[in-house]
Amino acid sequence: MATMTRRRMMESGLAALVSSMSAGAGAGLAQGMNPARLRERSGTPPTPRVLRQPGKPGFQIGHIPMPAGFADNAALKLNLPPAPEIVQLLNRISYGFLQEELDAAEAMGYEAWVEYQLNYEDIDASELEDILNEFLPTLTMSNAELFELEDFGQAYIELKAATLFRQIFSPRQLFERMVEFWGDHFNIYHQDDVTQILKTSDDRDVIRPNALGSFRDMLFASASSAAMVYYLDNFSNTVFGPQENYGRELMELHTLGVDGPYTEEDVIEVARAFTGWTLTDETDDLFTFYAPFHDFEEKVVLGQVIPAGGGIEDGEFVLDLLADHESTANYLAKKLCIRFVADDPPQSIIDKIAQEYLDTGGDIREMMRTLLLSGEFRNNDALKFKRPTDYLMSVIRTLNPNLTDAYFRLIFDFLITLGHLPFQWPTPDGYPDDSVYWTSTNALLNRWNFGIGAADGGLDYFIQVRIFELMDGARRPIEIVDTLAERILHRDLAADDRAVLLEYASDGGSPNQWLPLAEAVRKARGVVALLLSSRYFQNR
Amino acid sequence: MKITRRKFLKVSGLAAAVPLAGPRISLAFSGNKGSDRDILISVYQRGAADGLNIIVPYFDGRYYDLRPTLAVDPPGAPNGALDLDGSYGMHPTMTALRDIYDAGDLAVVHAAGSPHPSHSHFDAQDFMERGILEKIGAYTGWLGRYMELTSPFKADSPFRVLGMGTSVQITIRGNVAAIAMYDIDGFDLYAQEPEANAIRTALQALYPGDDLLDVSAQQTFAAVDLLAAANPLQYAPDNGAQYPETEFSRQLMQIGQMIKADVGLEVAAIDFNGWDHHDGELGILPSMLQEFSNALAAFNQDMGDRMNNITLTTTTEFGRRAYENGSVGTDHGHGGVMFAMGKNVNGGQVYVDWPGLQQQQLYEQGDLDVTTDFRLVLGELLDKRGGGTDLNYVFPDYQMPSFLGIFS
Repeated sequence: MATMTRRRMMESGLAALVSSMSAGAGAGLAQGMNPARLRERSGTPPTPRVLRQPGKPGFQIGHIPMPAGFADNAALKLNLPPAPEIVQLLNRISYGFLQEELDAAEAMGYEAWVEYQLNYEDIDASELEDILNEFLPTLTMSNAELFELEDFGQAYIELKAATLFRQIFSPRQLFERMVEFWGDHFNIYHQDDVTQILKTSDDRDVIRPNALGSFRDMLFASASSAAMVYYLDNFSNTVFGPQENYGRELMELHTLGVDGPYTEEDVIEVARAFTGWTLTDETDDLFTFYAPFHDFEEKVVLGQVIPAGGGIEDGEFVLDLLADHESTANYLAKKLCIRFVADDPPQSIIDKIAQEYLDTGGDIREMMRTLLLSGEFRNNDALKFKRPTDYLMSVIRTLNPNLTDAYFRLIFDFLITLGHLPFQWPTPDGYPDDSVYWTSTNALLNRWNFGIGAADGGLDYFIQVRIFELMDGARRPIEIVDTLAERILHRDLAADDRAVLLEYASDGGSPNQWLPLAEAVRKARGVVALLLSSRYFQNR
Repeated sequence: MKITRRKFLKVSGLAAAVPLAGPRISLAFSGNKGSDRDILISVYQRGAADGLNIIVPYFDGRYYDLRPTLAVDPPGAPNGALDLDGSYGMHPTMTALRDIYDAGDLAVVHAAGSPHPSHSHFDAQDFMERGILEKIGAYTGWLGRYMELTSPFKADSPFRVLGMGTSVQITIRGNVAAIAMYDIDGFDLYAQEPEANAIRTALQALYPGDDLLDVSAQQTFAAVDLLAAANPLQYAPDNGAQYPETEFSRQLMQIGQMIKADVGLEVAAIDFNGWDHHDGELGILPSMLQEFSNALAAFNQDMGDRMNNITLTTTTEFGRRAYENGSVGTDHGHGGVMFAMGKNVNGGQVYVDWPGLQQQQLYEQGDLDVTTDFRLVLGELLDKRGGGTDLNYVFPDYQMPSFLGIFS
């Protein structure tokens, strides 16, 4: 994308968002949206939709994920012609890509592109970050400052906006994917009262600094993150009234996994170790260890004795114990492979990543390097169904459309309806990562409506596809189909699917006929709509 | 195969946008009137609802010992429980449901739930929705398996199995495809004229196979067609029913609209989220219970005589610990409460084999025990109101004891 254009689009989207907030929108979000009404929009600027206060019961979306192994039952077996390995790489580690990015990756080569994306610190993202900091002031506030906000909803909206903006615009694409992965892993529901503001620092100080760094550091940072301490109730875990919520999820979801080698007794002991890890208004980040709340008696966790008399060290001992545990290595390795390789990844690659974890003391960058360079990843033709965010972002990043002032609201509304707005999963296990969960009729319909509307002009009020650029002079149905398939999918179509598209574009005539410009454009828009709605683009 | 498919597209008249799943669907539905089975609606209270404060065992003094801050006072006290039978009382916010109980159309099952020992929401919900206790490879839901054994009210209806929400609940997953619908409004495919029909036809042809994704796509087309013709949103609530203005209530109302529109709905799953009250329970639970109660009562009112052919049941993954914790809340427990509502429910009764709350009577570290397996309630539901089914198939690792007589 040309720098000036991209900058303008980023700024206008943010400016519109900020103004819709200040117009009394306050702290909530619309619930769902109606594609018919979106299409009827024209002329006047969008007005804020009916908004709700967060924190009220009834807003929560989604339910529980499939258990591990569910994917065995109903995997995707589409038998599409395989994509070239570098296309597959970009599909998996980015939120969609332009032809120019593919060209650059091909010029650099597979391994070099992996290194380039892994060393994200060397990729300049300052333009984007500067804009975000200018328009979204809460991103850099301390927890104490966030508490002074008149409207907590400001922080809530701004963090969601920043997250989505980075996914669309950041050149550090793999890094943003890792941020999303760990945000799911250490999930914090954004509407659990003060998590509206506290998630901002959790994202900034816990997840982002460690997303391609040390898992142990992230685990320690999470345990004392005010948002997590609040969300999983450890703030009220005291020697006088133990509260086992954090202790349980720490083992079940953050480290060992639900099948890990711990007992109900361990849950209680871990909860005792974390008594006194609480919140105060006397520090800037609000976290404190408050000794009078701590249980100083002896504890036994996973067979290890924590002697009586310890303070905050008790919890730190537990975190080290869990970070070093083989079950943690296996559990994290499997989750990474499910996210990046397949719903049902081969055991051989899980073992490799787990070993890398143990060898490096939990270095995430090393795990990802091993994963992305492995034969199992490179020679893998399994498909991952795009989660809704993947899908929406990839439509935008692939088409590089003109984005109007209103486009960001559109993305918000679709993500609400599709049940995938950032940090909106209510329970601590995070958004599911398997195709079965996301493949429902309702979801497909809304995804199609987004793709079709982006392509055929129906959502012109928000997103305007640059159809002439994409067509690149194509005027015959056969050129239109082949050019657009290459530009959008970067892979071969199955013969049957190509035939369907040709039949559509030819409209009963010859696929070699020269179409009048207006008709060629109309058919080209239709072909883009179909490609974006097809199985090829619904998967990554 | 491939040539056959192309031919199929031509001869089946797909150019006229007929659903791939079968011949064009007739709209002359007769619903389930005269059928030997009800429309079954499964409500899931996700997060583990606190049965002990929903149906209060006010006769048991231990309840008041274990919950000095949280306990609901006995009937007669200001803001006390609503008496049900001299021993148990409903939370005082639930007057609307108590009226239905008094009318004999609502039954309560207490100390109910799954004997599965898990205190994990995710595991417990998963096992309960699958209707099993052990990992025995049953990935479908109990209601989904039931549907595999039934013949449809209306052949080819894509709406036989409906999940309200953005994704299909495990409860209703099975080989009868289920539709997830967050909102009836807007459930359509939108493309610009004059290309709309051609795009739609081509899009259908791009999902030709029998893969999960293909089947899901074909279902979508069939559903869009049928819904457009039936137009459920035209039906306003009947009999003066007033639904609360919340997500759960809207979705429950829309289930009612789907029933009125006669689209062939047989089972529906709907979620009410947010029952995980580790802290601040006194502030949250009353308003949630009031909404829950008012929504169910509005549905009952709205459906009116249709409740002769509809039965609604509720589940939650487990109850909450018998004693309160240090933050005015309750931790994960074991036994909980289920409800059953409908004209064919033997209501006005609390079905319970009270396990007691003395220390030695509590489950593990201190939970109300489970004395009624949730599968016994649901098994009777399917047997009596579901037209009978193979309960060994639906609940494969359960020997069904004698029914409790909750349904007639």
